[in-house]
Formats: sequence, structure tokens, C-alpha cells
Amino acid sequence: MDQDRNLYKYIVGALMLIYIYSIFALNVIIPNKAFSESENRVLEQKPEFSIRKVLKGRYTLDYEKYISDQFPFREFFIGVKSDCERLMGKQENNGVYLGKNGYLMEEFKKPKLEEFKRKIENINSFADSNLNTNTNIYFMLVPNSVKILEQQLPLFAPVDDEFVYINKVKDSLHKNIKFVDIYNILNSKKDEYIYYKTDHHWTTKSAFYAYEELAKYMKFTPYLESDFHIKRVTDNFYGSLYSKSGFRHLSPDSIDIYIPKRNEDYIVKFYDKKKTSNSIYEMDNLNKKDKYTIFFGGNHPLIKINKNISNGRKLLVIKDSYANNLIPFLMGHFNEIYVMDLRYYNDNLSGFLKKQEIDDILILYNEKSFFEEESINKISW
Amino acid sequence: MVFSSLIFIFVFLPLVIFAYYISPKSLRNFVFFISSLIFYAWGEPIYILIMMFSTFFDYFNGLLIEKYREKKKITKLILINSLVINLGILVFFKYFGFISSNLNYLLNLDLKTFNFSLPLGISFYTFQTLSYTIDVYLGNILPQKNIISFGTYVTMFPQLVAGPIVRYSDIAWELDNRRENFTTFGEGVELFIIGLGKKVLLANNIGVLWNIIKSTPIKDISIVSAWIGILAFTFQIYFDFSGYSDMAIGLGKIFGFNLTKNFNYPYVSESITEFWRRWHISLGTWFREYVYIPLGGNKRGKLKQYRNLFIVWFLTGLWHGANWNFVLWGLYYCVFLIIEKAFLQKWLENKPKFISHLYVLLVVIIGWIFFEFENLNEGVRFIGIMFGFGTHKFYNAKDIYYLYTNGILFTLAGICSTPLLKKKIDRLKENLGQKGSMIYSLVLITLLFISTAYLVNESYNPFLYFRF
Repeated sequence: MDQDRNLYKYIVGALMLIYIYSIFALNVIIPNKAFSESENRVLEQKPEFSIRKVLKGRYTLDYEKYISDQFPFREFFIGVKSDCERLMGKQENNGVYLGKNGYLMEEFKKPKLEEFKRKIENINSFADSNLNTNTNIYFMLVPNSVKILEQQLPLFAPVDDEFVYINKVKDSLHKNIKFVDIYNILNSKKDEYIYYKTDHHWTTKSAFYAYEELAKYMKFTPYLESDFHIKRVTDNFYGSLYSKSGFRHLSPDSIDIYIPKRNEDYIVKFYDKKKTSNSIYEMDNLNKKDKYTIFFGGNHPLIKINKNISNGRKLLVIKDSYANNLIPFLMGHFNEIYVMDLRYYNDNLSGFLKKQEIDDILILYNEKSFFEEESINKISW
Repeated sequence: MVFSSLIFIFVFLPLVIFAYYISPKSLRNFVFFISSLIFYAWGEPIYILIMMFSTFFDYFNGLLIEKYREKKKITKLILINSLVINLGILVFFKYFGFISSNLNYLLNLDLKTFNFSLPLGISFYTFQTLSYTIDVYLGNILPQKNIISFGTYVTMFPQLVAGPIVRYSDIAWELDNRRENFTTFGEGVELFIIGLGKKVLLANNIGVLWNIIKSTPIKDISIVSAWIGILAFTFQIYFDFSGYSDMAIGLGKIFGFNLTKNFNYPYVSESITEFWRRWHISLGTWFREYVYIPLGGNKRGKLKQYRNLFIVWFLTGLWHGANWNFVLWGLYYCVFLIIEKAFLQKWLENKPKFISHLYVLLVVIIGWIFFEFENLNEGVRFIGIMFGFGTHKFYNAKDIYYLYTNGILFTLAGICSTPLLKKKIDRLKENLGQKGSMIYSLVLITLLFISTAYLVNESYNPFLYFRF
């Protein structure tokens, strides 16, 4: 009888030992990984031992990071955690909401007032310094899915309103900057597939609508959707929000690219890689995790696209990655397009503008990165 | 190192269990002592010297007191010396900044208010070594002759960081004569897993909610938010602390020690007096044994008793942190204890039970506000919101979100705060049989497995930012 009562103690003791020693052993056996694709970061390696590091407490910290970064079946455990959260009725994990119809949407937190002001001031002073040139400046601020698709959000999800901040930006910009308002057009198309479900970007279709809208401001005639072959390049895209949220059991996204039916020749020059190419698409990246990088192979500090168009117009796009799938549409309207990503471009912009005779400048950001990221402030350098 | 970390569970613990159990009995204390030192030095490579000093210092004090047993005056001097040095170290590291800033304020001085980082576990091991020296002095226990055994007692890693505060007399025999066996080992594993689950699955998750509400600008907090928030904190602190104690006691058992119970479902108490017999039991015991009773306890009249209570609760508050809000929190309880002794307890006796429960919960929940808000003004304002003062909304849309996404968690936390589940399981355990034993073990391991997943997720830190 007593034997029986203690039986579970033996079992649980034994099971626990098996469990912790197995993981301990796996930790030792499994070779270290250098990089996590889903987190898109370099993983911690075993720190080198030194007395100095130990005394500073540095060694032990690094060692802990190393253990958790190299933990066996890490991805699997993260899936287990998010499954548990779902079971508990949680609708959010790591800042990403699990919306209806399999939509993952990143939360939006309103910007701090000072930071908001500083960004606007820098953009305005940039506009001021270009007053005497004939350059047109356009500013497109793209709302994220968390606003446009807000009906897909979990009920009463506590997110701040992106629309309010689009309007604030619009109202505080310098009079020389033309604000390209695409909110209404995207809002009217919200039943179409205009945002990826598992990634934080907008779809090519969405970019096409924005392109049509932009044409009205820039006064050129946009091509029609029927002028393009729409080619589905993948239907197995699990994007950044899938990784970030850890939510599993969702269906993947697909990516379309719009290829002009008219014959198009162009040369793309990537300054960072010091290479030129005759395609803006990096088809190999379809085998990678982040398939959105099919557009230009991701972000670069500076790209130049040359096209045989006789209008001789030069466009500069100052942008984040939301521009990557919109720029292909603009190529049919400009002789030369420079694409500048201020997060990586470290020379000063005014120097660049002096050398190049730019006719139009398009500043294009999505709202979340515009408000959460600092590099736009470099615009006044 | 903390118990609820991957490195502890999957590196440190397997290594220590291995080293400990392959060693012959005679070496086990030594292995345990060294393991504890590594455990401590992991996070505090410098401050380990203070702990080592305390260990040696009180080891010799114990021996000296024994040596001069016949000479009352000398033993008294040794005791006083020990008290002054031990408390001196504690005061210096924990309260220096607090005391000097108060003196500056009161006397218009300009003392340096440099704040040291608090040496890990100093509040706990100082109380342990003090209890040892005092008990030797009082003749309650014989001094420990073996420095390794004594070191094992002071630095014992299961309870080093967050208690329970083990009195030497409780563990003296086990230090040199414990018999590890698979039954205690299994019980230890069971307790450790339950404690880990409380900490990782309940406390940490419900703590997230409290953090969100706490970081909302106070003018935007609705009445419902305030209640949800402080309720979340009430659960968080209980499961955090009691989970940690369970893990400590479980680890003790894994190595053959039986440490004293620290929590006994405090939230089901029917009076504040009872609450403090169920909350952080080892601290309450310590203050009763080494402060309240030596001061005379309740044996010297009502007035002296109230004075003694005041001193004890002033110190209990201060022990929790070097700030006035903790003192206030201690004295707040003192007031209720005195009222209960005076008449309230009698009055409550013939009332329905739910009134007692309601009263205790209300007092405790409001108490946590004093505990949690270092700034008294903010705390008072928060209480104001809870009771509808000011122009705060009754509820916001997001309160509904918080409620329906945390409803299950709140329910689980509520159930686990009462002995219901435990009683049920204990009854089942009476007659588990082979199948039942297997199932219960698997449930426990699953709990450990899920806790692992949550711990792994803590380190999950996607760097997606530059891809925007």
C-alpha cells in the first residue's frame, strides 16, 4: 500500500531526470547554430572564459544567452508557448495580434510627442532648404494593416489609432510638401488582399493602388492593371509576423509580381554591392525565409535604376521597405530613379542633392516604421 | 542565477545532482557547499566575499560562545559583536542610501547618498546567521564544529536567494545526518515543478497585465482597470513568491533537506492575524522569536505589547525594502493586528464567513498598493480611482479585452490560491494505483515541459526591425 502511494514519486523523479539530462546532452551534442532565420539575428555562441569577464559579470550573462539561444528544439518550444497562449484565450503574443481570418497584425503605439515633433521639424527643414530649387517633394505615409483591417482585430484590442496620426502628419507638413493621401483608397479596398496575413508589409496589389493615386499627384498617366502580367511567384510565404508572434497553424501568404507587358530594359545599380543587374527581382530569395526580399534583394543604402525613357526626369525615393514593391511601377515614368534608405545611407543628403539634379523626391514610409524608427531624422543632414 | 531559468534547470541542476550523488556521503556537504558558492558567484562574483565573511565570522562566534560558556559577560560581548557586525553589514549595503537621504532631508546635511547594488540574498542569510548565533548564545543549540557543514547551512543554494529563512535548529540534524532517498527526491521534484509552474505560468503571465495597467498614464486608468490591475498584482506577488519558496523547498528535498514551509494559502485567511501566519511564515517566525518575544511579547501588559508590535512591524516593513512605503506597509498591518486583538476578531467570529474573507482580501489588496507604489501620492491616487474618486471612467473598451483575454488565467490563479485543488489531488493520491501514478507523473512533467516553453520564449527576441 505504502509502496503504491510512493509510486508516483519514483516515476516523476525518474522522468524529470530523463528530461533534464536529455536536454543537457542534446545541448552538448547538437552543433551550435550561427544564425536564426526566423528571428533574423545572429545567435550567441559559447563565450570565451576570462577572469576579467567573470568579475564584470559579463561571462555569466553571455553564457546564459548562449544557453537560451542554442536551446534544443527552440522553434518547437516557441510554438508550444503560443499554442498554450491561444488555449488560454490570449489574442496577442510578442506584440502581434491574432486577428480574424488568420490575419496577424502588429500593434501600433502612438509616438511620443517630442519625437513626433522632431521628425516633422527635420522633414520641414529639409523642404525649406529645397525651396529655391524646382524640386517637387511628395510624402506618402502608408497605414498598416492594424488600421485598415481593424475589423479583423480581436474585439476591443487596445491599439492606438493610426488614422489620427496620419492626419497629424498631414496637417503639420511644410506647404511645399505634397502629402499623398492613400488612406481612402486603401480603406475602400480593404476586402481585397492588400496586406500579407503573416508579414508586416503590404501586397503588390496594394502598392499598385497607391501608385495609381500617386500618379494623380505627380501628374502622369498610370499604366492599367491590364498592362501587366500578374505572376504569382510563391504561395508559401510565412513572413515576419509569423516569426515574431510564434502563432502557428496559419495558412501562408502568396506574393505576386507585376511584369509590364511592354518591352522594358533597364539597369539597376546597387552601390553597396558595387554591382549592376538587369533585374530588380532577386528570384533566389524565394528559397529563403523572408521572401519579400525578392524585391531588390531587400534594402540597400542606395540604388540607381536607369531606364530608356526620353523624358529625362529624375526621381529620388527616400523610403523604407514598403517602397520596394511600389518602385517597380514608377520605373515606367522616370528616366532615372534613385532609391535611398536612410537607415543605411550615411552620407549627407544635401551633398547628394547638389550633385544630382533631382526633379522629384518621394518620401515613402509605412506608419509603424516612420514613428518607431529614428533614421528619417537624417533627412536634414 | 534564478531557479526559473533555462541555465539553472538544464545545466546547473543536472551537474549538481550528478556531482552530489556520485560523491560518498562524507563529501556531499562539501559538494553542496561548493555548488552553492558557484550558484551565488554566478550573479555576484564580488559580493560572495561578504557572504564568505559572514559564514566564517559566525562560525567562530558560535565556537567562541561555547568556549566561554561559563563567562556570561564574555559570551554577551561576543553576541553583541556579532549582532553589530552582521546588522552593520546589512544596514550598510541595504539601507545606507535610504538613511543618508533621510538625514540629509531632516538635518539639511549633505551626506553622500550613494546606493550600493544590493548583495544577493543578504537579507536572508544575515537573518539565518543571526538566528544561529543567538540560539547558540541562548543555549538552544550546540554550535556547529564543522566549517563545511556550517557553510552548507548558510550558503545552501535552494534558499539562498529568496528564503525560506531556515533556522539552524530546524536543520542542524539533517546537516550531518540526512538520508537522501528516492521518495523524498520525488517529492522534491513534484514541489519544484509546481513552484516553477506557479512562477512561470501564473505569476509571470498575470504580471504582464499589471505592467500594462501600471504603465498607463494615471489619468487614463478607469475604475475597472484599477481593480483588474491590482488584482493581477495580488496574484502575481503571491505566485511569484510562493512559487519560489516551493521551488526552494523542492530543491531542498532533492538533496535530502526538509526546509520549513513558507506559505499556506494566505488568501483564504479569515483575519489578518491568520494571514500573517500563512504568508512568508519563516519571516514571521523569525521576527516573533528574535524580536517580539525578547522584547517581552504580550507578557508585560497591553501598552508594552502594542509597542512591541509596532517595533516588529516597522522592522518587517523595512526588511522588505529600503523605502518608507515598505515601512508604511508594515505599520498598516500593525494597525489591523492591533484592532483585531482589541475587538475585531471577536466581532468577526459570529458573522458569516464571507464577511471575514472579504475584509481580509480588501485589506491585503489595498496593502499591496502601498507595497508596490514607492511614491505614496501615486499609491493614494490609485486607491482613489478604485473607489471612484475623481473623474475616472468606470471602464474602457480595453478593459473588456483584458478581461476576456485573461479570464482563464484569473480563474486558474483564483483556484490555485485556495487549497481546493491541492485537497482534491491529495485525496486522489491516497489511492492512485499504477495507472493513476503514471498519469499524475505525466501531468507534472507536462507542466515542466510547458514551463520550459515559456522560458524559451523569454529569450525569443526576433530582430525584425531593420526589415521594415
